[in-house]
Amino acid sequence: MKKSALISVSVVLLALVLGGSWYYGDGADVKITDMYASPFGAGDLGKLNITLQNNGLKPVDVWLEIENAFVDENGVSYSTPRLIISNNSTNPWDEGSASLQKPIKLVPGNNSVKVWLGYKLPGEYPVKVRVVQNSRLLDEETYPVNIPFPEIHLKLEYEMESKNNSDVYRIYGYIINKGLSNARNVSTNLTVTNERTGELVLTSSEFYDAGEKDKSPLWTWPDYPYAIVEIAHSKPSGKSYMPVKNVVIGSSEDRFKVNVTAKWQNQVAFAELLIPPKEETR
Amino acid sequence: MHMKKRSQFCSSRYAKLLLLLVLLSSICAGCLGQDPLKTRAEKLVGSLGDKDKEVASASTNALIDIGEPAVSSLIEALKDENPQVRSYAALALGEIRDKKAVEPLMEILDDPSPEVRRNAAYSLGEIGDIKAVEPLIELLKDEDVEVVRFTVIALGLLKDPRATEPICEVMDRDDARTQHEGNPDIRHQAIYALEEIGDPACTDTLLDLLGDKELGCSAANTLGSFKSEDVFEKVAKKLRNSNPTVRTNAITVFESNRDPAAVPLLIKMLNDEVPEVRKEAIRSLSSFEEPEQVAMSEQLMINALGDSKSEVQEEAARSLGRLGSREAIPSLEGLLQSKNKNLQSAAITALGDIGDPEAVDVLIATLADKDWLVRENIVNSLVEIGDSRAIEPLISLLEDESYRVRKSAAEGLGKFGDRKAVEPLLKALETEREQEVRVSEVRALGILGGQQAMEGLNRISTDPDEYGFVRTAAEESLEKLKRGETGNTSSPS
Repeated sequence: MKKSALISVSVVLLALVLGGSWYYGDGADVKITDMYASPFGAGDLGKLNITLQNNGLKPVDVWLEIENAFVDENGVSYSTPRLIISNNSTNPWDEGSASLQKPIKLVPGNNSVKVWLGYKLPGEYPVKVRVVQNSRLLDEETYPVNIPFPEIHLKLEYEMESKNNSDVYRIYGYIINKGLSNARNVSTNLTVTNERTGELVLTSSEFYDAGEKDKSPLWTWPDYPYAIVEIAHSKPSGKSYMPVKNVVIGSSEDRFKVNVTAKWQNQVAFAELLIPPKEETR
Repeated sequence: MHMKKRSQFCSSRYAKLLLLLVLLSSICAGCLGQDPLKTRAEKLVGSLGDKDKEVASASTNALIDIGEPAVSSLIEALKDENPQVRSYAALALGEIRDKKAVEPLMEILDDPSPEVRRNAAYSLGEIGDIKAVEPLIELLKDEDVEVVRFTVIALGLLKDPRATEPICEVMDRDDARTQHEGNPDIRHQAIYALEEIGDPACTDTLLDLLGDKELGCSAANTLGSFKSEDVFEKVAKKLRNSNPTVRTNAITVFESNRDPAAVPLLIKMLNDEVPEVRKEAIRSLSSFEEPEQVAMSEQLMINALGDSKSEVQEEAARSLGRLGSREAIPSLEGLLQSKNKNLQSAAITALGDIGDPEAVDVLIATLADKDWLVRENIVNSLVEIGDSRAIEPLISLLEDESYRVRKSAAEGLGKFGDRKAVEPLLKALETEREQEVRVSEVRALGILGGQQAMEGLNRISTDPDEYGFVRTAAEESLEKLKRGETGNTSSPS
């Protein structure tokens, strides 16, 4: 009985010693001391800067496990496959890329690494970073990444040219996105109404993409406007104005209200022009 | 006696206990000592059979990243019952390129799944061990066309002449013309592989292909890479073939291998009755750029500017431009008034390539042409010549009706580096609507530099209503100017 007890105690002790030495291993003491991501938009690649402090006296190999580094339009989350390791150069492009499948070596003191991030839609995403050594969790932190919404605006302009008893108004329009995220499939609707008769003379709908802090022209062909209004003071010119599709021909008595609406999710932008403008009426 | 027995029993029990402890320690130490990368590799191998192909593919990439520590797990995975696991494992082993994988990969070349055989064959090529040559040659008899195509690629990678004849034979398969997902067919792939192997033993097969409309050109390029007298003689004979496609491709062989002995033969071909052959002869001759070679061919090519066929004239113009023939300038100037727009453009480009200021006035006079492509080509040629007489006309072209011409003019003004273009460029930016043109104008300002340009760039770089690309171009230009990389231009602003 005593001998079997002795055997059991020995086995338990051995297991404890080995388990303890496994769990505490070589005593790696690594902490996440800082995380920061510069603002970036939906559809773009961002970087999460992570500062890892190795409090030991020797370099240690650790793995980083990242959750929510990439999230698609359906909300499905993916881990980033790669991290970026700076070689402390002043050149921001002078960085090496490494696989997250391999351990990274942390020298004693502070170590800086970056991981790629990317989100298809605006919103807030908690990025969870775990530092692991041989399946042992050394530290974990969560950083909330905020992906801003686009800000949609519209702008309409015109140029006028008088030719052969007609005033030709070339109308140009832009969707301006002042936000940090891309707006895909912005729905635009053009209407032209004859103010004199109240008749809706033209409608046209299109979809456009507006990149972050960018503007998209509403016209399709370079050097051709979005719409043309010809005010004929006698006989209309008879021009087709191809390839411009949005063309209105009127007479001297007419004034047209050109109205464009752009919609993206719950944002609506609106712009309007009177052709001819009041001060230009003959 | 009894005591002795007990003592033996005890010692036996203690020995067993000791043995048990040692075993347990070994197991634990074994567990603890296992390479964490290998552990990770084992887990990832488990995902190679995932129904979601993206997960399986991502796991394959992760295993490739791990590299050598993943090899043993991957070799083990080649025996998995799921063909998807075997296929991805074979693929990963090829990318890792560890020679330990050669034998296991050779063993699965008869796998029932064509995808596994395909990846195994390709990976053997990637690893580059010539032990695989014979088994791969055997695999050329596979019934699956994609397996054969990948095997041909692998044999090309191995560069072993033993594969030359079998690859030539594979081009006669019934399914050799079958294309899969837009990839080249077996015949094209075989020609590329034969070039990789570089064994002239395939010369006759390739010569027979010179008349093939689809493969002739590839066969010619491969033949061009074989530099031997025997090949030269055989190709020279083909110049007399009755089929013009054979003659054209034979010329291409000489263009490819640049053997100076071919020049007199090519010159003879300038009199060929078929325009396509004459055109190819001109093009080939322009690749012989040594002075004595040019001396032999230049006047004949100038004569070809008067050929009865415009495509031959066009090729002669382009070739003379490539050769930088000053002798050809008067004849090329004569072609600037041609009604054939392609010929006119070829002459304009040639004058730009020759780069002699003698042509500047004629080119400027031709800027009145109604065709925007002609005007754009003239701008490019004027910029190539680099004569300052072109600056004022280029400034005027910032108001051209075609955005392509405005864009080229802006780029050209940047290249000329004269700051008198700064103000016109800033003025153009006030009304220019096309993004591409605005980017070029901004970049030109960035090259020209000076206080006025920098102020304009500052304004654009902070304008929230500006195109994103234009704003970025302005920011980059300002950075370059601040670092002193640009802005060292000819006249002060």
